[in-house]
Amino acid sequence: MTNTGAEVLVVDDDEALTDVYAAWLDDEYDVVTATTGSVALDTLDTDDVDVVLLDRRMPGLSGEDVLERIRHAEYECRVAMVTGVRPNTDVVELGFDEYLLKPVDRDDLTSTVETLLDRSKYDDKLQELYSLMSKRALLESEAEDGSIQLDTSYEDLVDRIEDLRSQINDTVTDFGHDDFRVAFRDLPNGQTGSD
Amino acid sequence: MTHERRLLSNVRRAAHRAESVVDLHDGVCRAVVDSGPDYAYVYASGVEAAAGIEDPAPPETPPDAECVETVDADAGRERHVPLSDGDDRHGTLAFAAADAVDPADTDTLLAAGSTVALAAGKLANEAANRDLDSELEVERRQFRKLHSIAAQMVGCEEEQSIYHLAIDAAENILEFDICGIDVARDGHLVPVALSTGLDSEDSIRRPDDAGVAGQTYQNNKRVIVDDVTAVDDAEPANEAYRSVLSVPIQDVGVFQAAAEREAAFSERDAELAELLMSHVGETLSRLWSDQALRESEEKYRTVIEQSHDAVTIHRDDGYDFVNPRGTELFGRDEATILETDVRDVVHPDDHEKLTTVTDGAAEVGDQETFEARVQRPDGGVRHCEFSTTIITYQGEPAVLASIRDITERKERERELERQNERLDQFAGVVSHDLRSPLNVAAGSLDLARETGDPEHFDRAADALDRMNSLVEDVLALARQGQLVDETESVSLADAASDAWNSVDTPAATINCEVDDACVAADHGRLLELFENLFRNAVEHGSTHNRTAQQSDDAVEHGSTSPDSGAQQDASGDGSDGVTVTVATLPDGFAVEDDGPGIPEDSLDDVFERGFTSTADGTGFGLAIVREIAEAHDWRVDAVPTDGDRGARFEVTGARVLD
Repeated sequence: MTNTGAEVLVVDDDEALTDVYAAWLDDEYDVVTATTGSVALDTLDTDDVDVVLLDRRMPGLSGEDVLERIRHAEYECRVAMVTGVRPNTDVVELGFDEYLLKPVDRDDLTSTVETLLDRSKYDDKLQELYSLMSKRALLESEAEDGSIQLDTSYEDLVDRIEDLRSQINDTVTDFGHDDFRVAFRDLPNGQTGSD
Repeated sequence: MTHERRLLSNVRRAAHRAESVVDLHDGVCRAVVDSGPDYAYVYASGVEAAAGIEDPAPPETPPDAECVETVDADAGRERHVPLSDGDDRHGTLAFAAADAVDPADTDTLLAAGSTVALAAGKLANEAANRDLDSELEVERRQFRKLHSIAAQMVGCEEEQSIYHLAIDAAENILEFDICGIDVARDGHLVPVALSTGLDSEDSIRRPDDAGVAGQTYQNNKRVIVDDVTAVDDAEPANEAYRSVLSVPIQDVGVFQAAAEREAAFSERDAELAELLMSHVGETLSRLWSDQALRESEEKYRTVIEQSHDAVTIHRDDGYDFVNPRGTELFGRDEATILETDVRDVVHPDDHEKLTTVTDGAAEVGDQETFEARVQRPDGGVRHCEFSTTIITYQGEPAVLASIRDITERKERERELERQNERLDQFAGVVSHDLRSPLNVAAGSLDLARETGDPEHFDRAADALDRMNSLVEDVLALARQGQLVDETESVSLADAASDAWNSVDTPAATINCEVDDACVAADHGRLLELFENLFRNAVEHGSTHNRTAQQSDDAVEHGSTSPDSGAQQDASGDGSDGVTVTVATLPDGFAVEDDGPGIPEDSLDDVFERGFTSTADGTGFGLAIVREIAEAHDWRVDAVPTDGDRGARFEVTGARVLD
């Protein structure tokens, strides 16, 4: 395996876990770890991070706080929440691209990083579409388990996806045929956290 | 003056004096003998009276009304004078006479006869009148007695006494020796009262449409049977009975009297019996309606007074009614409540929920259900569910409230909520807290298998240790969630020092400022509370300042074992030892340390399960402290300290005993 040169930031208050993730990823990527939200933000300021794997529940600055600051400061990075917290409909408000539920195995983690790196090549609208579709799949999977009830936030989500889709279809001629197929090749599905 | 003249004169005098027909006959006989003849007698259907003769023998055929005869009788020659007043023949007067009658005297003798007949007629009339008077008198007396019986009946409180009274009256006033009352029940006429002359074996239950009794009851009409043998379906109870009187008691049953002779009962008997039975019927129906009223009143009283719910009637200016349960619930006696404003009874925060009748919006029949708190004079507060209806009470709209004490239910609900919360926490631990170490263990083993690097094995083992601690703590938390039932007086000094000894505290010092104070507590759990507070103080009690602590702890973690990182660090440098102080509060106690303390914005969060600022803590210690406190119905708070260092925990709501 060759190092792609992409930088992955692993944030989790459990240092042992950041060590494990780092060990899984450091053949292919430049991996930095942080055990608190503030250290993570410091790293984002100094490094050119491509993908963040972010724990949700941490003392001090939580994963959600960090995510909000990432989106607010418009860092050019994709974020996957990697957490023990089962998703609820409130995830619609969170600006993540993917959501993984612990425990994750090596394949899940590496393929998620890979997917997110691919996605950074797409334009903003397509990235947003991916993010929204990831959430929709997540919510549907949780609803199927009976863990949550789908509410209006889910319906809003579906509406926004439809809206985005039609906008993208309008500009589909801008895509080459193959590009388009590539763009939808790895639409979010079962790998998004059902367990 | 001839004999005849004297005789007429004597007879007239006797007739005048006579007070009765018998008297008249005697007087006339004596008057005749007084005027000369040896003997005299009066006969009609037989000899009525005689004087001067023992046993006169009148002839078969008396003389014509118009003539006086001289007859040779057994006793000798006799004169026979008809006692007639015109066509009205009364009898014949006979007396001894030696000679045949002188025609000149015939008229005198006829006149004497006529005088006697007139007098007899008059006396008979008078006697008849007297009889009638006395009969009327009897009747009046019977009516009076019947009325007094009726008055007595009104005072009866039992059906059976009315029947007995009626039978007594029938026996003593109407003089029916054999009589009884049958009452209709379930399609039968059932004997309920008998006269002493009636054999109880003759009084049997029969279908209510059988025999004379059934006929009387069904038609509600009296029946007189003069001769039962002449009536096919009479079915007398006793073969000796000949006549029967049967009188209905409206919608109740029948009264029956029987006699062993024929035609023993007159219309008048029947009327009197009817009168008596109408009294019985009326008295019974009054008794029954009284009973029904009493029963419904009693039912009402039972429902209201025995009600488990408080029942009140109030208007906006105060209470009009409160049941016993209400006085209990409100903690005031009835008189006080009736002078109390509704707003004094209900907690001020709940006043707006109260149903009112002044605003005009409320209509009779409107119903509401709401929860509000009742406050007692002693300060006690009960949670209650009010069900109100607007009613018309004494002509005015008022609020009828049924109030149920749901304090216990509320407490159970709260306890259930607590338990649910704890269940959520356990679910959270299993689903969240265990996921990270599980992930570490699995991932590290994966790496170890791949690289053989012992670092990965160590990390996996550490993760398993942490999972073990988590499981232990979850169990502790589950145990502490149960409420404390029984408390004992526990010395704070003893409990604190025992707890201190069981916590690994090589470099730390305890300072007990509690004297002899005791608290009412579960000994074991109080110990555990102290242990967790002490462990928290020791583990966070390094002398680093607040800002440095987080990152330092995180760095330390990698190289020391999870359980003892802080202590080892502390023991490595004697000056590092934290001092823990235990002190009493008016209603509890406090545990304070001089460690780095808790950031002010985290004071409320430290009791949350999983809140930890050290990487190796499970974050359960203070959650367990809170569970133990709440199980005792205490409260625990992390409070700011005076200086810029130190953490202070205050346990309040406890009973401190000196």
